[in-house]
Amino acid sequence: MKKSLWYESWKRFKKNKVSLFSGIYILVLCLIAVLAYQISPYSFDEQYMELILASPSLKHWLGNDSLGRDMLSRLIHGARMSMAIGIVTALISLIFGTIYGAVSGWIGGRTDMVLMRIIDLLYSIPTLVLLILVKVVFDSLDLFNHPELRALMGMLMALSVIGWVTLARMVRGQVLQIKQMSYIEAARSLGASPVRIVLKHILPNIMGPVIVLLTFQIPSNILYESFLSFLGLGLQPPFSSWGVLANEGWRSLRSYPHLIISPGFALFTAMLAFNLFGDGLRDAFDPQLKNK
Amino acid sequence: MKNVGAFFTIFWFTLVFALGGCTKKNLKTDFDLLVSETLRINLQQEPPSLDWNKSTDLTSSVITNNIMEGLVDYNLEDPELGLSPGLALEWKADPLGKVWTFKLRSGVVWSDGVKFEAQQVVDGWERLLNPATASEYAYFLYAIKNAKKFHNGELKNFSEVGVQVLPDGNLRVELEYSMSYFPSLLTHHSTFPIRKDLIVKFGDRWTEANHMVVLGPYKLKIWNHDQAIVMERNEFYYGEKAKIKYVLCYMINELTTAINLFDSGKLDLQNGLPTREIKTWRQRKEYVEHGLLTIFYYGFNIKKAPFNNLKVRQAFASAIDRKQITDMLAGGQTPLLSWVPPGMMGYNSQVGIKFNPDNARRLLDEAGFKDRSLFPKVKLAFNTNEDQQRIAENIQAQIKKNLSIEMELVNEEWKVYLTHLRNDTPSIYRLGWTADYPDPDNFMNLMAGFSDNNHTGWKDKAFDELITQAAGTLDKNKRLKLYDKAQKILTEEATPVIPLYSGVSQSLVAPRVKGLVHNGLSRFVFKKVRLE
Repeated sequence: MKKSLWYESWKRFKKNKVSLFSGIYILVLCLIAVLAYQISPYSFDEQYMELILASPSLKHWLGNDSLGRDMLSRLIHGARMSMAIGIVTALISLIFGTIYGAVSGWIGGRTDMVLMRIIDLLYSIPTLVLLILVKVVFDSLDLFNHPELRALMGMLMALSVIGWVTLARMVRGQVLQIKQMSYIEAARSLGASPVRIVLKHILPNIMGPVIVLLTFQIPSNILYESFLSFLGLGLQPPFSSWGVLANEGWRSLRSYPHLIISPGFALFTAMLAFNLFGDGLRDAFDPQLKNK
Repeated sequence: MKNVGAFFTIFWFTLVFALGGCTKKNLKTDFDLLVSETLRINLQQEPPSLDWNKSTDLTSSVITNNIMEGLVDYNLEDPELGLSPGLALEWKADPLGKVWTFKLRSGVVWSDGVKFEAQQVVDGWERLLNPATASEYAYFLYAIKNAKKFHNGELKNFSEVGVQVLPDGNLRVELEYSMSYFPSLLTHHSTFPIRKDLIVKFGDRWTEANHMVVLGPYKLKIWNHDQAIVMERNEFYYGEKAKIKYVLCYMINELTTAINLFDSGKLDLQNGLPTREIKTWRQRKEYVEHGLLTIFYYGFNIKKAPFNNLKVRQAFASAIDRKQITDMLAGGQTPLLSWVPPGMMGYNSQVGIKFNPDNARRLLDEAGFKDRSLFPKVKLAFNTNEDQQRIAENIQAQIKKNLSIEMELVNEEWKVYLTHLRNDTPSIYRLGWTADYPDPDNFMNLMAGFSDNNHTGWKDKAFDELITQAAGTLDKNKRLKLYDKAQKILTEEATPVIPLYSGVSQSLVAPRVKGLVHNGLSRFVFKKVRLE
């Protein structure tokens, strides 16, 4: 009997040591993010006034920031926001974008036309304006009481709104292309239901490009987060994210490089890991590419 | 916008390289000026306007205070900033302080050779008060009889305003009410004389380098917009001629670039330094620090709960340790409890609510918030700025620690922030104020009921009466007592504001620059500065 696609993919993925390691690294980061309150050595917002801008020491491994707060603790807490933004928005746009694109591409005709014009409409609004608009509207709803959660949810909404559009359009294109393939014709003539064809025959074949696109989106979402925070629309102090930390750090690059090195390193390694992980996934899902 | 930014980056890179290309042998700087006779300073940005009736910012005033002079000038060497004769040789008031006569200097000529007359002062004031000019400083002359009516459009004829050129060529000013510090106002660039003929001839372009005619120690030689301004010694200046021939003013807003230029000896004066690295700067011998007549404060919106409750406001005021803020900024700032900053008449360190966390908690309990979860959600607003962010985060942490109350921080870009303050004042907001003239009245009337800059919604008749009375009091000791009373109301009894600290100016000055006097008004005048 034929082994499942997922099993085959996992077997191929395991062989790629770099991607495997990246995947483990991402898992560790997620774990750190989840356990932030348990593992950080200090509170992220306790200000040690006598240690303002202090260099790394045995007590504070990564030094202290401009308000005397422990950098290591802030970095650990920053992982929460950055990882959540990166991964959750990618997941939301993956699910929504794929369904939207697949429906549009598969059904075609008038439905396709309407769905695509909606996308065009969203595309025509500059990303930044859309981002700010969604964020501001969401914030004014005041759905969550905790400021960190509110900032996170607002950001997730905003980034998801811009994220799924690109994905949906790409999925539609792929579906249109694969729809013409002879094996789809064959499946259809054997009496497979449309849902089954899309799920079993089309989606697995377009996983490669989708995952590549997602791995691009995760780091750019993390950057968008820091960007919104910079404009005062994102995370508000004293909460931290890597973007916020990096943003604070570069200003004192001349005298206090330790403030930029740690968040910079965290951002850099996380993005590298996401990219390598994505590469590995693509190879695993798309055996043709590998065999070539 | 992006392209503009890129353009400037390239521009400054080119400039830095071009400057870097100069060697010590030819000793020339930009615009082919000899380094030995040119003072090179950084304005950081293009002056928004050199029209001295209209300009409102410190950048423009660096230029206007060097190319022009008022009827009255400051003795900048005097730490108390006493007044000295400018275009007026002497002045005197009647015993009530309501009618002032200014005896003008004779033989003064403009930089095009035209004689200076009292009528040009009156022209300047007429233009300042003219509603069509729309100058933000028009209120400066409201003390003059009928001036406010003229500015509001109730009076059309300027001859009814209390300014008069006497037959002997001197100036007589009649005020609406007694005002002890009226001459101080005439040091401000908004009240300088103008040349009406040239303004009519050139329109808005009268401030261009080739049109501008001035009375001060320097005149405008080159104004390349967004790049640089060159001021040249004015040989027609009535007083002692300026010691340095040229002043070259760059407009480099990137602090790192400016400091690199300074370090490579291409810049003589840089005012304003990255505050986070101030500890590094303070160790350098070129570093100069000077207390400014500037206050930084937090204000409450007293119309909204919970700060409509006096005890809550007092609790917040006594829960903030100002010293933590100044220690954090570490640039020589002074913690401030009262309203008038140190270095100015009326400063009284005994006034104000002192830091006392126990007292703060007790006040909050008494205000009905023994159960802290009943305390409404409060937002603290500030403009997007590194220092302000640090201060806000520190205060947020102090309030959390001392009062167990969580505040949310909101930051906005400066212009958005100001509109927000005017239309929908946040629960807590931050602002600062730098003296326009060294008189406590300039600070006190900030919080008066009639002031446009009072965003708290707080109006107090007793306070307004006290400061109006003080402004008209000629006796210094009596005035001080009135101001003490008024400050007590403001900072202790009503507490619509929490003063935090008074500011400092931080600059790098090249060792070859001698005789530059720093002062509390951040007023830079170069006529007595020498180069070695």
